[in-house]
Amino acid sequence: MAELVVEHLKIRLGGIEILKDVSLELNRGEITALLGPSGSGKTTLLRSVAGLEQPYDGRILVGGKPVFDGAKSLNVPTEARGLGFVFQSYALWPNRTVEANVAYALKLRGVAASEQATRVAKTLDSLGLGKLGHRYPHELSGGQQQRVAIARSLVYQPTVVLLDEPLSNLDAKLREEARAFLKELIMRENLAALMVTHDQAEALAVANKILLLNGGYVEQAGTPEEMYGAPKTLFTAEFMGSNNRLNGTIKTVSGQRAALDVAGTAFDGMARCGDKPGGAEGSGVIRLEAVHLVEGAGANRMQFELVTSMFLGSHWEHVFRGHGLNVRAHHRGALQPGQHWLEFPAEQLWIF
Amino acid sequence: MPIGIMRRLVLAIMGLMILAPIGIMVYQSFLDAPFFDANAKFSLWAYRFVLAEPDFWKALTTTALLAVGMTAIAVPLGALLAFLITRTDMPGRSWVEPLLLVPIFLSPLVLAFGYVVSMGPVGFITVWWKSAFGSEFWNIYSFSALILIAGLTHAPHVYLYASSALRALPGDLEEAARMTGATPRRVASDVSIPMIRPALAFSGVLIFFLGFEVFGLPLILGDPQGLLVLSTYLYKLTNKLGVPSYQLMAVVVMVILLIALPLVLLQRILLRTAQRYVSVRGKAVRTNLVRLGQWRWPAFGLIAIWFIGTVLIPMMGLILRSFVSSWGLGINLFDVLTLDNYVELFDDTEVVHAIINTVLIATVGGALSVGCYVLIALAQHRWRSGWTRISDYLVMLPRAMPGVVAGLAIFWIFLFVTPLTPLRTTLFAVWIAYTLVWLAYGLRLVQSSLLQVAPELEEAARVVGAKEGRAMRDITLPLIKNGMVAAWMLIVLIFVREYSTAVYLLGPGTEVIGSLVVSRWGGGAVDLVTALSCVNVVLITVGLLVAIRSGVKLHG
Ligand SMILES: Nc1ncnc2c1ncn2[C@@H]1O[C@H](COP(=O)(O)OP(=O)(O)O)[C@@H](O)[C@H]1O
Ligand SMILES: [Mg+2]
Repeated sequence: MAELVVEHLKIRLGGIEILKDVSLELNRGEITALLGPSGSGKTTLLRSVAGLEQPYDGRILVGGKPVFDGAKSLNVPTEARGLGFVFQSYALWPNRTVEANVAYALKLRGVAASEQATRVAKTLDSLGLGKLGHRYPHELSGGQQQRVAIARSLVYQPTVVLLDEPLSNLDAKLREEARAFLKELIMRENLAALMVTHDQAEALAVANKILLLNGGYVEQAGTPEEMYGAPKTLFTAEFMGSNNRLNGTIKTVSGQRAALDVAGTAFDGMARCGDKPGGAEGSGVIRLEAVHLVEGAGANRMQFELVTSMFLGSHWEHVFRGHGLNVRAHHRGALQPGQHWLEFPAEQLWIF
Repeated sequence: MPIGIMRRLVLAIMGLMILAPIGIMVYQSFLDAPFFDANAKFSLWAYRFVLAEPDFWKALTTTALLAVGMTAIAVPLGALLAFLITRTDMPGRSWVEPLLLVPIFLSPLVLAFGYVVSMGPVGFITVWWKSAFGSEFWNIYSFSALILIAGLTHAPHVYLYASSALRALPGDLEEAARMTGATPRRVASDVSIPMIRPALAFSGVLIFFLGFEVFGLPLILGDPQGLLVLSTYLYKLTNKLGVPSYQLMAVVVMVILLIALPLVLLQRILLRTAQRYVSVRGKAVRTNLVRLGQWRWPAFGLIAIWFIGTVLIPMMGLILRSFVSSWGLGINLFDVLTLDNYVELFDDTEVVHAIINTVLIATVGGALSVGCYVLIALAQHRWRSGWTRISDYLVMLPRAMPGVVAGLAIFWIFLFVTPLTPLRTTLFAVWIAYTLVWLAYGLRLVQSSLLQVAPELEEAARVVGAKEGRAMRDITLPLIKNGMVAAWMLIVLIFVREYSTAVYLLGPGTEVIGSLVVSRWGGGAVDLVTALSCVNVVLITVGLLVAIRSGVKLHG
């Protein structure tokens, strides 16, 4: 059975329905990224799992044991749930040394002083904080503080850790190092981790599974490849990457495929529009890197005028205009001003 | 004990401590005799009696006039002082500011003594003026003098709120107005003043409310001419009918409460509005000072005159008087200089007790009071429940009780609840009264340091396995330690100064400096009163210096 199970969770805060029906499962050795726009309830979900907010309906099970059950009015208090929680602000106790911060959980559990010391030292060592035990939080860098916060949540060996945007307070360079470190640590300790982020690139990089929240529901859940490569909804498609959007009218839908009319040109694409009738408004969505520069006319091709170009280091991003559309495309090289043909491959063009 | 029960217990005790004194007042006001009289019956007699009493109506009008008058003086003056200090290039702004706050920490009673010995009919200044220019043009015992002195001494309260509002005004807001072509005067009237209007409105209501509370100034300055305000009228009522007329006093108290409570509520609403303005704007940024040009020194002169009139004249008079054996027309100062007044202080056992008791109640008692405030604040802390909301409103009740009233109510409680009666003649009674009177203030000090504790710090403790109560003890309390010490220092200062709360409790064993000087002044012991007042001022100064050295913010 999954280490953490959330079933049909519903929560209201200040009279507003924040989570309307959210379910998820989390296994050990797995990182699930909780993704969603700001205010979509990611933190609220995490806090509900930890028992810091009280849902009004649904169930939460940790290690197979229910800790919250709306139907049975069961609500195990936070301290008895035995979860690890890393706060977005780290929430290190400023008046305690690093050691004392980490040791507190053991002290609460009545662990003997000598064993406390060894376990704290071991945890700090494993996080590369060996020499910093006597410092106070304000004497540490942002990255070190983050590690102390992690150490504090792992020292009592919880199986489930909840991380609320653990990387958002680090600067860009440090963030990339920290996410590799975090992923390795969670795998090594065989933890079940639920990690909130609002950054899709971070979610793709770190997670085994992504859960996209929107409007109080799970918009889509799946592996990073599925979420990026096979979005089921327009929202997911738009959220998971940088896209072009071609607005037009749906001509036909047949099985996997659909045809979209954009400014008089017909485009073939992957049907994602359910049973929309022909003639309905539709949108074609395609990732920037899926748009190709080609020579001359053909199927799924259109001619555009180059407006501007931006050099991004490993490649260029070109911006085109034409037929009432703005289109961006990634390309290895620079381009001459003027008209260019672009192809929108049918396998990578989703029609919603 | 489960935390929920602890919270309820603490708040219930607090509720009892607040409601009992008020309850006994309400109860007594509906009796036709003191509550200890076996023949006392329920009746409206006392209300009818008091409301038919011309003296009562006179006291009520006098109080209202005093409140209006002192508000009209203190608000514009305080706002002007705040503007000069925070927004202009007036000389000496930095060292003038702490001096402005002095009257807040001095006892108004002591200032009143000072005015009498300086500017009274035979005060130092009056005598010197007479010998130089002939008869003086002022009368310290007149109603207009009372209003003027009350207004001048309360201006610092307005200054506090106005200056913090002005400081929070971002300079770029004013600069933006300048850029669009507004003159400095237009900037002040169109941008700056409207932004601090909520703070001014709040301090206006505060001063008006304090006008109904003042006791020391009218007692010393108004009484000799028979000028009574509600609080002194209440004090004089003690023996109106020859027997203790508790029922009449209770009715006067009810009138005071009925006026004060709405004002307290109004202050609460206005303070919220004022704070919303401040919090929206956040951190203050560098501001361009208004250049006063040729008005720099006149502005400084204005503040100097205010300071001389409000602090120097009464304090100098008080100090001088404490070092002379007698004073009057035709006496040479150097013939009468003496230390005897101070020596005699220590021969008077009552005085010695009063000094010891004052220090005790301020330091030890103050610490215990802060302990109570912390318990109450923690009981409410992060607890969304009806208990928290109700207790929040309950706290406003003692705020509406002037010190004299609270002292009287506590005195009655100790008489009424017979098992408590032996404690009435101990410092415990005085401590309870002080703690109750300053409950709202002390609680706000503690709550503001609790507000600084980020909720995640406590939640982090919960997550790693601490129960709610344990998290409070291990995480919250250590984090507000500095705030508690600061609150203690401020409470010490206040308890040293306090006088009105203790007057009804004065007796052997419960003497404090404040209540003793009131009673000795009534007996005409000017030598002793001025010396003892100076001792009080020295104690306050020491406390103030310690607080400033420890970096305590003097205004919460
Ligand atoms: N205590 C609260 N009372 C009322 N609304 C709240 C409370 N806490 C959060 N919210 C609201 O719930 C929504 C979700 O918040 P949150 O879970 O913090 O979002 P996220 O972490 O996804 O950005 C937001 O609109 C927020 O304003
Ligand atoms: Mg969040």
